[in-house]
Amino acid sequence: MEQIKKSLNEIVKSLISEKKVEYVFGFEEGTLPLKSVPLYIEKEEDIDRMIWNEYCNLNLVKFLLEEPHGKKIGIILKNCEIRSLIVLINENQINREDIVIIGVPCSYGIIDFNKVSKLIGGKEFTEFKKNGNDYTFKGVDFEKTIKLQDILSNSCVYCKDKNPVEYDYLVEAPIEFKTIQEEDIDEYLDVIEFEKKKPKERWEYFKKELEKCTLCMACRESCPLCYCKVCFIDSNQPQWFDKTEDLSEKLLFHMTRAIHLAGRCIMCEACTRACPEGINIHLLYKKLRKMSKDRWNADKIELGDPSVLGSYKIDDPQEFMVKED
Amino acid sequence: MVKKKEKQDNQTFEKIIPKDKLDSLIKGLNKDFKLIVPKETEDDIEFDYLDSDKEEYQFPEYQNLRVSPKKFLFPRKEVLYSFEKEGTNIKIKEKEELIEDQVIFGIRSCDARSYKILDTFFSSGKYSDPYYFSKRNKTLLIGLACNEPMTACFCTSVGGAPFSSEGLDAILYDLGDKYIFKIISEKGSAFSKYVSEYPDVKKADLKKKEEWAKSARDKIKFDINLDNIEKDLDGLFESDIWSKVSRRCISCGACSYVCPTCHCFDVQEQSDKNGGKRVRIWDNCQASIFTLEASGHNPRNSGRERTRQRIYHKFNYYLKNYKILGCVGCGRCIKVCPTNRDIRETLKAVVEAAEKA
Repeated sequence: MEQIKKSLNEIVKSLISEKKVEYVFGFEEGTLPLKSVPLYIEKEEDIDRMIWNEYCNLNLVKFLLEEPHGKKIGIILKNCEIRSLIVLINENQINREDIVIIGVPCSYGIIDFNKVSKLIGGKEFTEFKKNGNDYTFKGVDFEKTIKLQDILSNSCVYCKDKNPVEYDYLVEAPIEFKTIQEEDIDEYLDVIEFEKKKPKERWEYFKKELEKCTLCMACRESCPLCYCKVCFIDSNQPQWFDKTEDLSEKLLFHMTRAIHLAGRCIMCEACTRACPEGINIHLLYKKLRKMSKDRWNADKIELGDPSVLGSYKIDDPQEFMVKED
Repeated sequence: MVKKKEKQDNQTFEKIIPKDKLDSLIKGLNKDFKLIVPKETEDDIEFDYLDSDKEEYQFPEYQNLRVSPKKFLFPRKEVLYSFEKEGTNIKIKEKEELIEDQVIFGIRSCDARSYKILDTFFSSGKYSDPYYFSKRNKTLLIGLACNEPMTACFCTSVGGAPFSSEGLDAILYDLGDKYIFKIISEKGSAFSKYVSEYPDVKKADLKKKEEWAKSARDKIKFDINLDNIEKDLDGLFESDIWSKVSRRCISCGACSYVCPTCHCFDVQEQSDKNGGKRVRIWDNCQASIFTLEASGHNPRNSGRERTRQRIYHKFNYYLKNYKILGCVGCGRCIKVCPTNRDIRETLKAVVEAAEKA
């Protein structure tokens, strides 16, 4: 981590001092333990506040959508986030030349705060200590050590796509990072396992998770790929959605969001981590990603790739079509 | 005269309840009241109705709960009335709700104060809200003073305190090995019969209580003087601090849904060909659609205006309209925010900007 920090500091410093960008987007320490805050690095002295670690939990690409075209911005990203930026560039939302990508090889991934909270029974921890991959959380009446593997974001546990595929500057990492899993496993193993369950069991799982939803839209608002000026859920002329928290409405929202993200979602899981209720429906998105892979080999999106939803080939697999006998 | 005497008695009604007798107190109360208590779930602690068949009730270890008990009086979705088609006529059915006397037990001081704010809002103006007050008037609050405030707590900066009994009908002080049960309000004197068997409080216990109160207060590290906040904000409506503050906001509504005092609502209709119902649901001012007008114009079109609105509503408009602050300092919005936008930092920025102006 030290080497990454040093390399990152040098790159950011040169970008700022040579005025190559208006600012660099990174993270600073939050006001609570294990929380980070987006940081706009505009001056050299801001660099001291910059952090880069396993709890930089947002996908900063989201914030680029707010910026006008033509403004030169630096941004520090991991590979999943770089792929989300690529989707936006492919969809003509962001100009590649406006963005200076500082790519960082990702080590084990990002901690999901919700998982920590659940494992300590909804209590509050006031400090945490790291010892290798053991994290010890301490609160007023407890101390608990948890393995990093159990609090990493779901997708990070299986991710092997750790090195930036598109960048202007590449941060030097000391070693080649691997997944936290000891064995070499399939990136889609969790989906494959879930597919084996009975439809009723899968439905019960999603139903239980979605019942917690308060429709606060933190998932949508933290997702860089949710950029519709008017989301269907906010449309009131016509109104598709009655805004109540009935399961039918929650399902309508989440299913529609998933379909809109099919072939686009790059599993950064910023949405899961942003969810105040700790809802875990990432498998829905990952399943769609797996389908994109199986059918069009389109799970790892690169610059210039056609979009799964926005393109058509005569020999597209069509096994999803209902056939008439 | 008699009434006055009763009140005096209330003020001094303090009993000692051994910790192992909490369950029998709860059982006693549960005979006459429906109880809402903190309950352990699979991976959290939440307010829920007490399952009276269950054996022994003990407080779970909690500082404060992730979600406030707001929903018990102001539900996330509430049917206001329903209608049915009968031939060519429409039959309107009023809401029928059987509300039993209930007690929210173990509520923290900040959350109890939040009901005072909701009471003020729902009874302001010409009408008082029948849906809220039908439940509110049947609800009593028994607090549990807060020995261990959390990292995001700032109740002392907004007029509260961990041991405040404001808004409560009775309060329990946890002295480590026993509780003091104190009746606070006139309504709360209804509780005297459930605790009359217990010994009266002694001077030493009260001293111990004061020590706990002080230690709890000392644990709140954040302190800001908001005496002039209304005036401060009056001069900052167009300030550029709102652009800075909103820069990190992603405009979700997580803060407003966990807030114990946020009360904005929307009214929707759910209907099919045979009838339907009019429902009231929670709304939140951080959503872009919140103030979208029929013309297409939106007076709060960006995060800047929406962030500002949330602060102004709680720290300026509330003071103007009702002479109280609209925030109880529970810190939930800080914890829940995906970008860790901290309302304490915003308040600091406001006070600093006002000093400079």
